Amino acid sequence: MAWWGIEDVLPATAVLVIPSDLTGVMVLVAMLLAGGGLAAAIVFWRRSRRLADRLAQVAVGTDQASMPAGPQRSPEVSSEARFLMYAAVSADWFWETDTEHCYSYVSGRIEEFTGIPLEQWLGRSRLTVVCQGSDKALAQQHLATLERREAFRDFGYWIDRPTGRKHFTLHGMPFYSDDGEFMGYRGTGTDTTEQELARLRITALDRRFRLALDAAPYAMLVIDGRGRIDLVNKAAEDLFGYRSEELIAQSIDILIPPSEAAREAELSGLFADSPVERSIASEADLICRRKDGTEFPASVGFNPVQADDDRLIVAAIIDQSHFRAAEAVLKTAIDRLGQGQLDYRIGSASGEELGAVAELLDATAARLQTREEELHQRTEALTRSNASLQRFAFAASHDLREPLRTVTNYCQLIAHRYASTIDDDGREYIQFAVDGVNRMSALIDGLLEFSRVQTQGARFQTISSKAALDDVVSSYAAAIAEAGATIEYGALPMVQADHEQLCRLFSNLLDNALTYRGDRPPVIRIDAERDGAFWRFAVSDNGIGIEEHYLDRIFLIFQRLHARADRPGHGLGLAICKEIVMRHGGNIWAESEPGKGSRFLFTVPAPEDVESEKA
Amino acid sequence: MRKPDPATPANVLLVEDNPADIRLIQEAFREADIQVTLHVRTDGEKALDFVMQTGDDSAAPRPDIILLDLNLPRKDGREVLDAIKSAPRLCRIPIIVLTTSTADDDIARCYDAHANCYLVKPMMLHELIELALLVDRFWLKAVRLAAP
Repeated sequence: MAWWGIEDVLPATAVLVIPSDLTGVMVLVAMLLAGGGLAAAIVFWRRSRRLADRLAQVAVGTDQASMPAGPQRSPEVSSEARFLMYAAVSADWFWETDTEHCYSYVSGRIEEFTGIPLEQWLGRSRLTVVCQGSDKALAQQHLATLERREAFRDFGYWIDRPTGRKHFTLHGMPFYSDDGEFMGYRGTGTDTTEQELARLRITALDRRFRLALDAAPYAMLVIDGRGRIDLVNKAAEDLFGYRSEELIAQSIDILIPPSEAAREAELSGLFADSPVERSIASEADLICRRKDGTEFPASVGFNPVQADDDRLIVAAIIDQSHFRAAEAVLKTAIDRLGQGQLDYRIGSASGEELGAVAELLDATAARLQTREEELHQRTEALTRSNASLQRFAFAASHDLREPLRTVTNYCQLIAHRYASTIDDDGREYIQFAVDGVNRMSALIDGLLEFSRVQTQGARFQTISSKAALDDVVSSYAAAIAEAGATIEYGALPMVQADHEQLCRLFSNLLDNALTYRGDRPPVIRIDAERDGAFWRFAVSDNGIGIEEHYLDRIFLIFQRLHARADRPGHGLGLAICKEIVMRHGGNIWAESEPGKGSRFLFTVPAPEDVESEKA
Repeated sequence: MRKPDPATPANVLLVEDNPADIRLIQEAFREADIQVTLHVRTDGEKALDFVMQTGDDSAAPRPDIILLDLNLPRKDGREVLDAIKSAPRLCRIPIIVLTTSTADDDIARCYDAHANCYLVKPMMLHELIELALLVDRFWLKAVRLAAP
């Protein structure tokens, strides 16, 4: 330590200085000599309070006795003393290494930062410590710098201490002897642990943030308060065809052309004093422009973020052109399918979502088409069989009638021509034959009528049910009078029906009520009630009634509940009623209390448009 | 112009394939006590031969009226009707369709083909006798027909 020349500076107090506090003492003395004042000395004297106190006393004495006051004396202070003072005041430390890069000097503060006593530093190689604690490449580079005897700045490295890891940053430059011989390096060191940790944290955070941003499925931008692009994620690069570097610091105008009035309104809102968040729309609402100049519709969301002093805007951009195209494709498909073009298929479609939906839609269409074909085939088969059944019924009833007529006519011819030679038995036999033929004929008539309900019916029209009933009642006038019956009905509604068939319906039910009358004079009441889209008619009588377990059977073809001799009828009347009501989309059923009467109910459609008024 | 001559029985052509009906119609005329010469042909072709005096019937008399069934073997009644009513020489002969069909289509089609009337064969004998009387009184006596 000969170069410090301590003996020259402070010969009297040197004995008091213990080695570990040597620098501190020297600094203090230097300060005193420089006229810096006692207070400053005490402030910087931290580690050896006791010694400092003692020195302070000495200094005070010296100050009063021999030191002239005032800073104007500084020019005469030796540069060495000044250095010592800086070394003590500085937040950094100073170091010196020899030609072999072994420490030949370190200023005292290094002890504070590392906890390693000063004397342990001297003679140790700086390089071993440094190379252990630094990145390999950096260390190599550093060694090369030293090899070239160049100055260096900001060389950082980590050092492990029991109290934790420390990060130091060194600056240094070579120094030479008067005759130009390399003597070693001198420099400063700084504890940069906090800054380095902060930097690492920020780097890690930044990395994570960028990863998250890049992983986002949508294009995202960060825009600063002046509308300049700050940050761009991967999806945005892909979407717009720019590389990140090309966009950073550019105006947002290059992505969203300012001609978009909507954008102007939105952005001005965002940059206003109290920015309004603009949530992303489900539909495309702005036009964006790619690097190649092409434009596309997009949904854009802007979210203002207050970051320190700056206002940032996070923008999310969803390209809607696929959705638009997809929408069009799907709409066409659905329209076509809706129009019954079941062989329409979207086929291959681009875009994952659309592809899936298209596949689903095509599959559905295929199923529908298959179903419809099956249905069509079944309907055709049904129509064919129905038609042939109609033809059969019609032809059969005609062809059956001819032989019947022959039988009847010849029976009658026999009875007429041989009246005088036939006895009463013979006449009775002939009568049985004729009666049988007549019943057969009635059955054929019924069958023919039954077979014609579905095929020979007229178009439904808005007709008055009362008019139909009036017709029927007048045609039954004789039968009604003969039975002493009372027919009661008031206002009846307009209905959507085939007039002829409605007449047949009323007439069969009226006929039924007259036929199955009890001992009392028949009272037959007809009324109607609204039932949704239908009118529900009820034909009530006070006749013999029907036992409950027969109520379902009476509407079946050829079902008779009574012996022919008791009640006439071919057993088709109610079956024809049911056929007529079913053709009208309605329903027919019966209620009864045996002995008291029956009630036949049926529904027929109300007129479609106009609110029907009772006729 | 032809005046009905009570002394000469009218020539009636019955076109009918069912022997029971042929006989029944003969009996009906008999029961009604109507004097006619009834010529019977049992299919459409024979009926046309008779009317057109061709084939075996080259010497056939011109019928005063024709009673025509619709359902016939070979040429059916509808074709016979069309053929006669579209022949200028024959179309003035009254044709009475006498059939079992009550189908609206058949009725309409016959009138469209200029049948003079359409009668449905009745179920009862007495109705048939009445029909024979009506035909006689109207078509053979009351009506004044055009000359051939």
